[in-house]
Order: sequence, then structure tokens, then C-alpha cells
Amino acid sequence: MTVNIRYEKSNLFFESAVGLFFSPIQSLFTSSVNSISDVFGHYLFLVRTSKENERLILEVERLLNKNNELVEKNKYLERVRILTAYFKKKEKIIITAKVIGRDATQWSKMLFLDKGTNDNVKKNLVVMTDAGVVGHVIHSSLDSSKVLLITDSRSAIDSVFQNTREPGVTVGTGEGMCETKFVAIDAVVKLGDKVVSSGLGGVFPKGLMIGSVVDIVKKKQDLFQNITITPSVNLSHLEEVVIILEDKGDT
Amino acid sequence: MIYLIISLVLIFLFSIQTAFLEIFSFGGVTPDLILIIVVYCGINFTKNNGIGLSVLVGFIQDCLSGSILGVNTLSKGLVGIFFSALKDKIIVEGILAVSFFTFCTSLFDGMIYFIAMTSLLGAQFKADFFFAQILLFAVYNVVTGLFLFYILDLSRPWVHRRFPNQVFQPI
Repeated sequence: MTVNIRYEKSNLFFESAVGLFFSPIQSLFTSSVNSISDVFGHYLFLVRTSKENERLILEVERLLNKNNELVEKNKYLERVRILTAYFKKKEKIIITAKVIGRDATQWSKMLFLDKGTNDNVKKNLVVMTDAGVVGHVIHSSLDSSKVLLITDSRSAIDSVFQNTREPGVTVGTGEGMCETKFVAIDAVVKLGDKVVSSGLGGVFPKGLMIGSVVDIVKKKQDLFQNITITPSVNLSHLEEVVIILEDKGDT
Repeated sequence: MIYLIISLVLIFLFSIQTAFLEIFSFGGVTPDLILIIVVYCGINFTKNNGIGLSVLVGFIQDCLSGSILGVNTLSKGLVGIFFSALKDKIIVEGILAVSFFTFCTSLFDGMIYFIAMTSLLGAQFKADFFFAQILLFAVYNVVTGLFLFYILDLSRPWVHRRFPNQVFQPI
């Protein structure tokens, strides 16, 4: 009771006066503190958001990179699957290899592969894709090998025209094309005719696709025709190839 | 240390040459960065270093190519000897001089290959096509050479400061 009386009395004047005096200050102070606290809170929050944002950006980049890797791997596996499926049907023991480099000079046409003697790759093995012949191995070291392309001027494959069975020798011109030489002037050859390996010569098995005829020049005074062949494989865009280690069946 | 730097530069250039220079192929022709480096080193390196490096990169290029071993060693070595021997008597500075000598050495390099392949291996080329390719090759090398010379010249003062008179001739 006593307390209540005292409380009521003081409430009448002092508390009201102090309240009246301090309330704007308190209000201002409180709002300032709240503002500052809000600023700090939001600032700190923004710092956290910024950090979170950075982390998420990194995460997105990592995932994009991972996704890219998986897409590349998927495409690689798909290409290898198509490549190997073709050769499995042909009963050949093969090994796939990646193209890791090209000739260091302008003049010769050669590829470096990532498989060497560690994978039983040796000289004179045939290198192909499902589209046809790429070339043959001319040198093999432990983990890499050199492949001479069929378009190199030193490459020569004993060949026949698929339809007419006319024989010839397909040599590289050094300019991205091949020529089939020693085809008799009276032999019937048409544009688009396919040229395949004849199996003679001991390197290329019989029946491998080399290319198709794109140009024929016949001169009356010559003994042979000049026949230009475009390789069936796009040799400038090779990523994976197949090396035939052993040919168990007929082609 | 300077030899380590030169080795790294050479590894970098060989990697570019064998890995993706094909992308920049124009008319089936790609520039020969190694030949340009040989010309640059022949002109700017001290005599022994110029010749030694030319023969060495020629040999490495032989190992990384399908041609017979020695063709590039010979051609690059001769280019290195030529510039190392005559650099006191000729001035190879400025766009015209660099272009002229790069053009001539490219023709020389192509001819050495042509002679070696036709005489030693009996390779058959269509002469008109091959010479057209050599000309295009020389022009492409000139364009690339000017750019590469500019880049290498930028780093030359730094090499001079760090390794005075070790590899480069005094400026």
C-alpha cells in the first residue's frame, strides 16, 4: 500500500517530467542505435551475403566446369563406342588412342598418338577410324607413337577400286589428298568410285576404305590415268583413332 | 637460369607448333615458329649460342616430325650459321629487314626439304603446288615472324638486365 502511494506520487511529476525530457532523446537515441544496429546488422548480413554469393559463384563455376567435363567425357565415350562397335563387328583386336599432336613441320603429314609400346603399339600397325584408313605407325616409343598419314608424300598403299577391282597404288600428295597411280588408261573409273586397300604390301589388310575418286585426268599419250582421291577420313579433325593390333577375321 | 628460361620458351613454342597451330592453317599452310626462333636467335644471340641453339631446335623438330632425321637439323643449322656469321656485316632491324630475311630463310627451308625428300626418299611432289605452298609458307612466316620478333624484343631488355652478355649480344 505504501509503495503504491509513493509510486502514484512520483509518477505525477518527476516521472512525467523526466519522461517528457528524455523521451525524445531516448527515442532519438534508440532510433539511432537501431539504425546503426540495422546498418551493422545489414552490413554484416551483406558481408555474409557477399561471401555466400562468392561461394555460390565458385560453386556454379565448379559445377559448370564439372558439367563441361562430363559432357566432354560423354561425347568422348560416345565417339569411342561408335568407333569400337564398328571394329568389334569386324573381329579385330583394337586399341583406341587419342591424337595428342601433329607434325612439327609444315611439310610432312604425321600425327602423335598417346599409345606406345606399353600398349603393344609397334611399327607398321594400321591406324583407322570407322570411316577408313588414317595411316600407319612409323615409330613407337613407350607412351606415344608417330603415325604417317595417307596424305603424306611418302605414303603408298596398294589398292583396288571397289566396284571394278582395277588395281593401283594410292599415294599421298602432301596436300591433303591422295592419288591412285598406275591405273591403266583404258580402265573404267568413274567419279565417286571407292578405293580400298588390296591387302598386298603387308601393312594394310584387304578391304579397308581409303577414299573416293574426285578427279580423273586421261591423256592419250600417257599409259596411266591421273586419279585424285579424297580420303574418306577427315584427317584435319581427328580426335580419336583406332589402332588395329590384330586382324582375326576377314574384312 | 637463362638456359632454363630459353628451354621453357622452346617447350612452349614446340607445344604450340605441334598441338594447335593447325587451327591457324591458311591454304593448308601453317607458320614455322621454330624457323622464326632460329632467325631471331641467329641475329641476336652470341655466335656460339646462336649456332648451337639453331642446331638443337632443328634436331628437336626432326624428332617431332615425320620427315627423315637431319633435314631440319641441316636447314636450321645452316640458317643459324648464316646469321651468326653475317650479323656483323648485315643489319637486321626494322620491319622490312626482318620480313626480307624471314621470307628468304623460309624459302631456303622449304627448298632444303624439297631437295632432301625428292633426292633421298624419292618422294614425288607436284612442283607447281609445292612452290606455291613454299611461297605461301614464306609469306605466312613473315607475318607471324613480325609478331614474334616484337614479343621477343619486348623481353630482351629484361634478359639483358638479369643476364648481361650471357646469351644475347650486347645491345
